[in-house]
Amino acid sequence: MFVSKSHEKKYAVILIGLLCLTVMTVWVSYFDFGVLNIVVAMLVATVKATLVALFFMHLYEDQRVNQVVFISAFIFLALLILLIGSDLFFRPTPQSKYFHPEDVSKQFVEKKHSGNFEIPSQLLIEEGKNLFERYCVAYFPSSYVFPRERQKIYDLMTHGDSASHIPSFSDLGEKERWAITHYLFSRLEK
Amino acid sequence: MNTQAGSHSVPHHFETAQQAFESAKLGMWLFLVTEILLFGVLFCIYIMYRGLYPEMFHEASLHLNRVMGATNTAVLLISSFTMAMAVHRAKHDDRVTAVRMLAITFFCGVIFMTIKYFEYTHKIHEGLLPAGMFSYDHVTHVKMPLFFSLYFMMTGLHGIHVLVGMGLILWVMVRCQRGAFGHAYSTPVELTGIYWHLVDLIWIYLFPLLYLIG
Repeated sequence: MFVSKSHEKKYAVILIGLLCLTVMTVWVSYFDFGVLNIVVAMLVATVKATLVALFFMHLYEDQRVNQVVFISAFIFLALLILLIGSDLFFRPTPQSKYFHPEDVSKQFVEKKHSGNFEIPSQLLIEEGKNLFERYCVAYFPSSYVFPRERQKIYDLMTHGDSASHIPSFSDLGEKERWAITHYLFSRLEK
Repeated sequence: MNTQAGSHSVPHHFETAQQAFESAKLGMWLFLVTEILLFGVLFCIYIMYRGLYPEMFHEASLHLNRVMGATNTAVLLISSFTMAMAVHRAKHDDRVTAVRMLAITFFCGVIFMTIKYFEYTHKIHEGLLPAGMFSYDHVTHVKMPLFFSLYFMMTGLHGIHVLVGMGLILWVMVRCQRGAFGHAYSTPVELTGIYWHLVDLIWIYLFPLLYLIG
């Protein structure tokens, strides 16, 4: 029975390296370097993953075909992320230079007329009740006085009220904000 | 054929034992490619939503326990090491050490799942659950349930992989104990090893992305 010790020493050295990198990445996460945090974390993770793949999975001394197969997975994954990301993050928003207000206002007007969310209905009020209790109620002090006009409540949902530390709920869609508006208005009427 | 390496015979459609082994390994690597794309889609969803709601991800990740996450990372790294040792020993006919190393690897899997169990029960108790079941009282961001949907999807799928890996390790351990593997034939141990290292590799990315945000 002959077992080569040099292989096992190599595994031990790699394990110690991996554990050191883990300690380092946890330690670094307690400091705030802004965008650099995620860059450092991903860089360290990639070094660790490479060590595992090359030496524990023996990819370093494996056949070329296995190396190509495994690496191709990451190339296709990068393609997937790049294509979806380029759509999502480069869509025209009011901040980007590709943004033309007239295009959006056209869409906005059409959407507004197709939805008619400004007109209250029992369905919208019930939806608004659910949404309000789920996302908004925690932000409003019990003594909070709501405006007595639908448009003003809608503006409050959109822009928030900095004087009372109430955030904007513009993350919710137009329909959802109108639903909450109708619910709050129906509550005022009682 | 060497009788010491068990009574495994090469399937008739292969010319040599080496060719049979290389074919099996290529199949395993191809399977791992599909695994990477399976997890890759979840990573893709994560990247897109983190790009849209960076502050929410930051706040939500503060609800995760870094110490537990880091401990689990160390446990998986150690288990990868013992797995590599087991494969090496099995290939060099050292059955006793190989079985012992496989047992340690299995035990590391148990520790990992136990820590995960405590993390999950804590989250369930607090109501930090996927959207739809989310009932945490002090929400600081409207979209916070989204983070926990991703958290449970990603760590849950990974946890299932750990359980499958543990089952495989148990299986090769029993076969190794019976003397099925040696220098002439050790394909199942090697392939289980590669699979187990991939599970570790995925956790290496999950840990900083979920637990260590800012």
